Amino acid sequence: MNDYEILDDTGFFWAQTGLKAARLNANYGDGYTAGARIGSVEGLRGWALKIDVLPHLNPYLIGAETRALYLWNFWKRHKLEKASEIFLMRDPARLESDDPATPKLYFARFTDDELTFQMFCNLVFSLGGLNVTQARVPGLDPNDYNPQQI
Amino acid sequence: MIWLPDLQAENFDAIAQEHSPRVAELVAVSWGDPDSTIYYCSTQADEVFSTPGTDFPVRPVEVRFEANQFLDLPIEDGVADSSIDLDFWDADGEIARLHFVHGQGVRVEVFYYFPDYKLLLSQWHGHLGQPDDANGERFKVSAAYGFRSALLPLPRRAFYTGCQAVYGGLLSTQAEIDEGDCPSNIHLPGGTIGNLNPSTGLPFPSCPRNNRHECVIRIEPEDTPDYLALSYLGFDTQTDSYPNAKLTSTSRGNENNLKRPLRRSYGDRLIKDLDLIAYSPELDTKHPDKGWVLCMFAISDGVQLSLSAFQINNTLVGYEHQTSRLGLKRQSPTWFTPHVANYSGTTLAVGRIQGDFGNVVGSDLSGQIRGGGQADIRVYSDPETFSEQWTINRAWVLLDVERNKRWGHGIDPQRMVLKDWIDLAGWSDDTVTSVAADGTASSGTRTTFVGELLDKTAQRQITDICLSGCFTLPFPHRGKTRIMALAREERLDLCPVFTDQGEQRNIIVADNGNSLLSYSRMDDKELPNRVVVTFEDAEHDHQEHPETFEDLPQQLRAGRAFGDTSQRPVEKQYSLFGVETIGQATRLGNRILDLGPFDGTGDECGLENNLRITFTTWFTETLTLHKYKVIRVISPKLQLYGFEYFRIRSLARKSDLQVEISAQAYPVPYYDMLESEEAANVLRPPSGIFPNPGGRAGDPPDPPGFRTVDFGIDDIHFELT
Repeated sequence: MNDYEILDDTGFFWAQTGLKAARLNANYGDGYTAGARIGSVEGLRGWALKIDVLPHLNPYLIGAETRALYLWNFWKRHKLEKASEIFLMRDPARLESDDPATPKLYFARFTDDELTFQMFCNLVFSLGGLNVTQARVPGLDPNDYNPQQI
Repeated sequence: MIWLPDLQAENFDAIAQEHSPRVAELVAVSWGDPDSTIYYCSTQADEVFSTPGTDFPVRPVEVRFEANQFLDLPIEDGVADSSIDLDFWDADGEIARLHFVHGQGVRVEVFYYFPDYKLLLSQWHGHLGQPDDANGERFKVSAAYGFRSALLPLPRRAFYTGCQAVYGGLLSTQAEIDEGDCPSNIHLPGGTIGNLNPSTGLPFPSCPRNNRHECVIRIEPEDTPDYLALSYLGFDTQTDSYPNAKLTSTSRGNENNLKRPLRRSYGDRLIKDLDLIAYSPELDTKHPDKGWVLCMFAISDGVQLSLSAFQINNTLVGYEHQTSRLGLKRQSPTWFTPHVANYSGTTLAVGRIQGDFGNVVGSDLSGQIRGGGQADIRVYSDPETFSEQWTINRAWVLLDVERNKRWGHGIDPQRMVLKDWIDLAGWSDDTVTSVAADGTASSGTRTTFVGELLDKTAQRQITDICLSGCFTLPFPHRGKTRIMALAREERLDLCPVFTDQGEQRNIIVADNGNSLLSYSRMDDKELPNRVVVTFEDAEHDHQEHPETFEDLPQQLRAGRAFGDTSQRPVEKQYSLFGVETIGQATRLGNRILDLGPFDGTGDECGLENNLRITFTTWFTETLTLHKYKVIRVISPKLQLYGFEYFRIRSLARKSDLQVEISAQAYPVPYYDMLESEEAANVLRPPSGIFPNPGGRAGDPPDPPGFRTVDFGIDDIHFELT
């Protein structure tokens, strides 16, 4: 479980938080419908991630890296170097969290498999944000993550 | 179908009434050992649809399909193959590996899973084919239900050398051994039949099946001569010499000249064109015309009830010159030659006739015999109990065809719903009204089968047997192969209802709000208005006999469709397979003309049900449906034609869970009349409105009787009697 890295979202701005219901529908006309729920009752979450600070302000470094570099390296690590592209992130909207101070964790992955650094900068500093999609891992609950575990 | 605990059958209604039930699709692929069955899906169903406190019903579950997609699922009968396309994610190569290891023919079954109802519902089953397109990332393969090959012959036991039985030592249960022809069971716990391999002290693991000696060392007692390998199921004939007066005669095998498989003959009938296995000219050099020829003919596969009236070259064989075997397994050899084989499981006739046969060859010799009919047909009294006996019940004959592993289609009985067959046999035995050529009504059995299976494909034979019995074709339903009678629906009030009106509407509409219900009618120019059926008439030694059924008003309508007032016959011909009585032929001829083959569920319809509809509905409305089921459809679009009930022709579930249904009109009054004592009112006599005075078309007129009344000088007054 602790193989999954947690995205440090300090100083990030979550431009959008979305929820997708997996449904199929039938239209009988005049407002009569039928449907089927074909996915999880919790739906599938999606987020758009932006950086909420100026690019190279030292007070907002993560380690030795700026936010942009941290995020770029995080994306690169998960898409290219790690065996799994899935990481952990905290619920930015705190919608499902009992205690706002301890937000719920989700498995997630970056939606885009292809980025240029210019496009990446555009997304996180000016455009709609870097898309992140909820992921699920068989047999694992993201909230079982325990940072104290060795 | 797996009903998990606490479930009741009426949950089908509950599912249909729920607006948006939770549902997943699982595709079970039964890879063999050691890989077992794996359930593939488009989402991790065992987690996404897990219910607290309840184990997921099946495991393991693997996500291999595109997200949120269901398969395109055609639900057809099993004569025309229906197939589905499976597109696995296979970047790890595991599907390719499994397919390589286990090969084609692995069972595939598609399930709905309703987690809130704990219901795993089979929708379709078939068998995996070869990959259509595998590129390392995707593994595309189709699975098909139906005949593996359209060219599969039936019967299929051909005349060739080598044993055709499956070696018992390869089978894992006594039940499987009992289904076959090789009795060896020494490898099973408690098995007593068979010999151990002297070099290993263990059962023989296999059998080359290429000569009788191999059979003897595996099954027969020590020192048994090879020709007494009584279970050997082959046609290799050993050339044999034997003394004949002061000469020596030598037998000649003829099995290599026999191109078609061995027949099956049902019911009491004359069997012609027998298959000559071997013959032996017995010459008289002093008086050549006093010589003999000794012949051995194979009559049928399996057991005949009786044999009589044996003829060779149209000459009756004297009783003292003939012998026969009825086709039992391990039957004793005949006296054909001293070392002749027994031809286990094959009905045989051996006889000799006198004449000059000095230059005879196999093609000069023909044989015919009267067979009492197969006496090894399984008749079930309940789904677990059967006896093998003589019958001409069409349902049991068809089951024989479907089930038999030696010569038939070879389907395991476990894959069928045996209650269907019991119901079908009862329906076949009903007494119904028939009409004779002169229009008089009489009673008879609804359908029987007297005929022979020979030299056609399994697809053709089964279709013909079903068509001539008013049976559905076998079709897949909830993991089993099912079959039913195309009978009158007894409980119309229980038929599922589809409508595009009111609050209970369940027909899907197009974007403009118009319901996706459309209809069509067959053109009068193409609608058959004359049906010619042929059957083998029992009253005339099973000679083929044609009868014509036609509808003159419809022929006038066909003329009008061309813009004139002519009478235009649109003729279709059908061979009524296994029908031997005029009564059955009359009912069938009428029914095909009025309702079309298979009551309009194929491509054609009839005069009384000429309305076909197509509509789209939601999958939850179709959980109880199958092909041939009668449904009720209410729509203002159909009011003009007066039909409310329809018989389903096909169901096609799309990947968006919408189901397209095609159905043919079900004329309620016609079915009611056909199955009542008033049947004669809807049945036409054969040959249209002009019955032959002799009885039937083709018969000579009745000889007139005279009674002289008086006579004068140059005239006679008489009356016909």
